Amino acid sequence: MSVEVASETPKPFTGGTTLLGGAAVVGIAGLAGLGTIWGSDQFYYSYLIGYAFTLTIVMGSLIFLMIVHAMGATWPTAIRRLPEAVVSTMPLLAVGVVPIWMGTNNYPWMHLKDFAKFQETLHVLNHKAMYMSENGFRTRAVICVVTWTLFAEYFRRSSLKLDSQSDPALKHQLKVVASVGLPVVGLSFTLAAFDWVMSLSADWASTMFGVYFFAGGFLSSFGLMAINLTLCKRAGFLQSVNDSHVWSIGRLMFAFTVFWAYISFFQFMLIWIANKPAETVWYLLRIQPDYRWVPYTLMLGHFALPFFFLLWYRLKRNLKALTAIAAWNLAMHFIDIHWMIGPMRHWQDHIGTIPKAADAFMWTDFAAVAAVAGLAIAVAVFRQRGKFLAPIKDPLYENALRYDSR
Amino acid sequence: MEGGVFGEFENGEKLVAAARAFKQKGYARMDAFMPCPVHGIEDALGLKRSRLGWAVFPIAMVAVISVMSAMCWLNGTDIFGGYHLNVGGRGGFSYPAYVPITFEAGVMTSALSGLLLLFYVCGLPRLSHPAFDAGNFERATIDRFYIGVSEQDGKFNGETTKKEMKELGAVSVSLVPGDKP
Amino acid sequence: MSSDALILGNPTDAELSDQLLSPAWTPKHKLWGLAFTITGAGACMLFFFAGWSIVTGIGLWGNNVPVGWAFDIINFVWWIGIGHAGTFISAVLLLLEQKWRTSINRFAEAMTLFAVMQAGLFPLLHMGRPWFGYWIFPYPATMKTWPNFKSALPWDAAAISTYFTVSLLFWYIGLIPDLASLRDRAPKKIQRVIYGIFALGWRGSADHYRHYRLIYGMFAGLATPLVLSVHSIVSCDFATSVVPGWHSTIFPPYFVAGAIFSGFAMVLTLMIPARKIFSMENVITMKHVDNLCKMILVTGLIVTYSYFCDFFVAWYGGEAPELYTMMDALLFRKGPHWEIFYLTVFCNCIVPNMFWFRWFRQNLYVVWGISILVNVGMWGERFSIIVLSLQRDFLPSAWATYNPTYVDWGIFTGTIFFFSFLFILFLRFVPFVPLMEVKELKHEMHHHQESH
Repeated sequence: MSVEVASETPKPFTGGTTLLGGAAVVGIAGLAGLGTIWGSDQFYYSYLIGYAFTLTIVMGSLIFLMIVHAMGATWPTAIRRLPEAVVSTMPLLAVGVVPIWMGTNNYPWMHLKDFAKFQETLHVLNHKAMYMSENGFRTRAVICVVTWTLFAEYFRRSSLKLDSQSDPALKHQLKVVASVGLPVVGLSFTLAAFDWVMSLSADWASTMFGVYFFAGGFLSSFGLMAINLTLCKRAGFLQSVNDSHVWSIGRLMFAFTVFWAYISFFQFMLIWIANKPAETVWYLLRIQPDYRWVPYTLMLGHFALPFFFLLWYRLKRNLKALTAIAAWNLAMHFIDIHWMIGPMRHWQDHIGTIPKAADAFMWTDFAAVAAVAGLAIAVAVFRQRGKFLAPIKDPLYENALRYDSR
Repeated sequence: MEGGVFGEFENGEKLVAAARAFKQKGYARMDAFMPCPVHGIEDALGLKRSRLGWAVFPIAMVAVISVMSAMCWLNGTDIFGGYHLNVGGRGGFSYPAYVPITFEAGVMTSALSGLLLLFYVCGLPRLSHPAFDAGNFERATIDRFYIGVSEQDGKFNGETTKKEMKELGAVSVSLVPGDKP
Repeated sequence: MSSDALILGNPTDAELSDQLLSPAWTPKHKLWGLAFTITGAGACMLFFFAGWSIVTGIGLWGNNVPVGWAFDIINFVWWIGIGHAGTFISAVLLLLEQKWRTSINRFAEAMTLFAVMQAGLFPLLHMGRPWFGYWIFPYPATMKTWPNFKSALPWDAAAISTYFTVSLLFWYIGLIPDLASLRDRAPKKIQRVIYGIFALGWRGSADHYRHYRLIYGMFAGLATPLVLSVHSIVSCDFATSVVPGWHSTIFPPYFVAGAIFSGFAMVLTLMIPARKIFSMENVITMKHVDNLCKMILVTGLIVTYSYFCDFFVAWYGGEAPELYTMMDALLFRKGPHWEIFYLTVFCNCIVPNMFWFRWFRQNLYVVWGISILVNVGMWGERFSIIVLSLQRDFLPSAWATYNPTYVDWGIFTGTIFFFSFLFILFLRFVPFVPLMEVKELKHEMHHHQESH
């Protein structure tokens, strides 16, 4: 099966100045905004929202890259540079862990005294104190971001080497590193999810949480791929990426829309139906007046709407439509991440009760997203300059361009 | 298609080429018979992508909505033979708990309606068909490829069509009239 | 690159057809007759023990308070799980455009059907009065009662019946073109008539194929979330409760991964002897074995990840009953039958890691051995979850030890025989390598080579 490949002489990426400049300005403005509340509780939660939003998408891209290498998949070779550009922001995010490193004071396991009246919670907190300690938390944070940065840089740099010469030995090495690395990255990402987000609640625990944290970011990473593909095509690059590739991205978006719904639904349903006090409190807190609309929005916006659109074959092959759905998905991912973190903002004021109100969305949350994501975009564009937008000498590249599926 | 002229070809490439040629000659009502789908034959015959999915979707939606409502009615109300059941603190309209069955009902209905629609549009089961009387046709499911030009085609003319079929490289050609007018 | 090929040699379409169809009419292999007799006798044993359990009651089994669920549910979950790999191979790998699935999908789908049949027996028998089995479905009863749709058991009934129906139809749709080939190639008239009826008059029409392929793809699209949902719903039998060791939110994906893991192992267990006996080495190649081994490795790692999450969060959550069941009774070997838990971890978390190395993946004896160990491990996993948790419930005064009786063992081994019996019949009467799809793959690869 062969298709006509749009003739295109690959050229290194140039331009993007507007995007780079714009993103940098937005990022710095966001940082400045965050700076005004530096040191307050509000700062930490806002920052964590912005950081988690960006990190989950970058990690989704990294895990996708590793799966592609481990499977030796062909078609993604044509668009592989897009997730590689996304993971090139990992060093920035590694630096971005500093506020989290400094922010241990915002976690309940640092405040055992506050729980003196709540013996059961206190008991649990004491029980896990040897793990959830300031030093343990910081050590794990550093290990996690260093591991991810090493993998991200390895996969990006090795792939860049395949721009200049075809190297089957390197291809094999990539496959081995990806296969061995996937369990490492998966496990460290889970532990980070437990540490940074799950442990915001004093005694709540869900075995699914690592997967839940991952699912939304993985979905958004495909959305980002569609958006980046549109941007590249508009700037005159990647013309040889055809609608079969687009369809594949669309199918992945569809599959992981369902996966996200599956994971979120079962986590919720199992906790709701078993009705154990220590567990239901997590959701109870998240349906308080300020947040009541969020679960319904997520059900409709994160699942139902994209699901019905993506069922449609022709839409999945249409890059414009996919890009629109992807942009929508990113907004939903923000709400999803916010829903995990935001409601914990004033936990010290309502230990043992459920609050009446909990300032849902604050302007600093948006500032944080602007800061982290804006700077990340600027870094990605900057690092991509002068590089090709596809691994043109990759042994699989020619076949990837001929990909035809309908 | 019903009866018409059937030509036997040795491989898929020849089949596609012949189908293209017939299409260019202006024939419209044709079909191909082959042991496995041949790449490009649908374009050559001018067949479009099947739209059965659009028929299955509304049926599945109706099933999903009615099963969900039925559970709310039967477990959640006392009207019309329902019985309000409150077990384990899960009240009548416990829709999260109704999701699994609703999902299964949607899948079951889509599958059954998809199969029935497939049979309906293909006219299956149908154990006898004029094509089976074409020469050598028992090899159509093994290693030979056939083109059938329907006798209902405006351009159809038994002898001319047979000649054209031979010219396009058919190994054997046979004219089988349909049972019905 | 012969070890990487999906079809060895370059058979013509006619040769390929004869090879793949011929098991249906060539004289029986001696081994086949032997296997038929043994498994048939084993199936009779199943019917005997099952009949005895129905007539006398399930007091014949080892179940007793507090262990009300034991072999019946273990075997139910185990068999359902085995079925999942069949759907995974035929549906998910189709959607992922993995060409290597082609030669083994029919085989795996048949395994699904027969495994689900075994699984279905257990809840039915466990009712004690199986003739009231229909009570689980909603019907206008004279007592004006309805099933409790908020319980995981009616979910199970819906899931299993849907799963069986959809798997059967999916299998049958895939079979139609091959039944037509059988109709056109079988030597005896009676065979032609029977296969002809089941082929429904299929004639390989291009117009039919475009609908056929869409519906086949749609079935794959339906079967994918279905396979996810079925074992997720099965896991809800446990996870919706509050029993320590059962209530864990990761159960749905964890059960699905475990199911596919054990199913792939069962595919290898059956495939390695079958390809040898029926000389199918040219269409079920070492590449297929290699890929299946890799799938076992991947799913094994996901299972290991789930164990980790389950145990870590049990500790992290710090609830006393949960801690006792997971830590003391299992990890620190204070509960009865802890050996089975350790066996599970050995078989599921350690053994599959041998597949990191190519040498093990290429050695059929090693592969076969590992596939058996994985099946044992996955059975042990269900034993650990179900029995070990129930033995150590909230109330220490209610603690007890479970021991199966010979009737339990008889029914369990009986289902293995019955499963094999059905499978052996399938190998004999239906082309177990999908002919139409292998031909299509062959043409495609041929085409691909030419275009280079």
